[in-house]
Amino acid sequence: MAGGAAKYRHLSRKSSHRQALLRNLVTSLFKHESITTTWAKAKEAQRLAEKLITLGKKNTEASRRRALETFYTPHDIVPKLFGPLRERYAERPGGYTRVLRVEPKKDDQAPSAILELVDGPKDMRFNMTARAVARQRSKGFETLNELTVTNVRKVTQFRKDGVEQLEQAIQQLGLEEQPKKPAFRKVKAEENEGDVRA
Amino acid sequence: MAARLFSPAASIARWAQFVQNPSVLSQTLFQPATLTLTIPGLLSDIWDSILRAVPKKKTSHMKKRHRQMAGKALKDVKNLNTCPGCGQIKRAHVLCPHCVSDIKKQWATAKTA
Repeated sequence: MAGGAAKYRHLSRKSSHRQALLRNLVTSLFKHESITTTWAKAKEAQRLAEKLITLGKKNTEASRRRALETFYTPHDIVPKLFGPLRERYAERPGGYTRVLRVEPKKDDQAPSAILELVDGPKDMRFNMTARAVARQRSKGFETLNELTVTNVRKVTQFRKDGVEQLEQAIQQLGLEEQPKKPAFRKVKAEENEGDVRA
Repeated sequence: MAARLFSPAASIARWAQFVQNPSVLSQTLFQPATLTLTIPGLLSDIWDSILRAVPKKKTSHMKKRHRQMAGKALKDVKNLNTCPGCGQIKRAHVLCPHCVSDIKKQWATAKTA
């Protein structure tokens, strides 16, 4: 772009349109804890969402006003932001949200992503890690691979009773999987051992 | 607009006058014809090679598409690995679509239950 590197993505919109879009995205994010959108929009909404959680953690009259004027449905979300979310992220030094790439959702094949609040009830990485560990155990391996170890650390580090919760999720998966899983899939899975990465 | 004002008979009369006037004809029509006839020897050498260097046939649709799509074929997807959650093949650095849809289904049932 002329005049040097862009400081933010313009998302092919004029300023007011972009602001409205981002406000809509973060309103949905705080309402549902997790949203699926295009990757570029997710990254831009992530910036705004992180700033809003910082406002929540500041918990002053000024920050409350800033939050009120950002959300489209402030009276549903501001109490949540200054209540449960503030407590959830009290110990965490930034990095309250996460963007995970997924297969394209839109029919123009634009790269899509999930934007989620870390350690929330809809934490996709938490669930994926639980699955990875459960599968590893079902195959009889006690040691996890490097990336799964990193993910376990990320997922349990600041979560309240993180290790216990992850263990519980793994146990639950083990109970559910056994009747559902067909026999042929297990054979196929054993053939594909190799580079296992998230 | 002006042409419509003349009747057809009038224009024919003007044409006849033009043809019958020998001075106009010799100056405008026949002079270039005599010029080309004087130098046919120079032209005939390059007539078949350069002056008529025009495609003999229209390029067919197939030929045109092959030419324009050359080097634009889809690339093979090589960045693949197995999903640690279910063991199926997935793209690297992208979540496994089967696991994602499974987990979302679980959330939906948990919400309704």
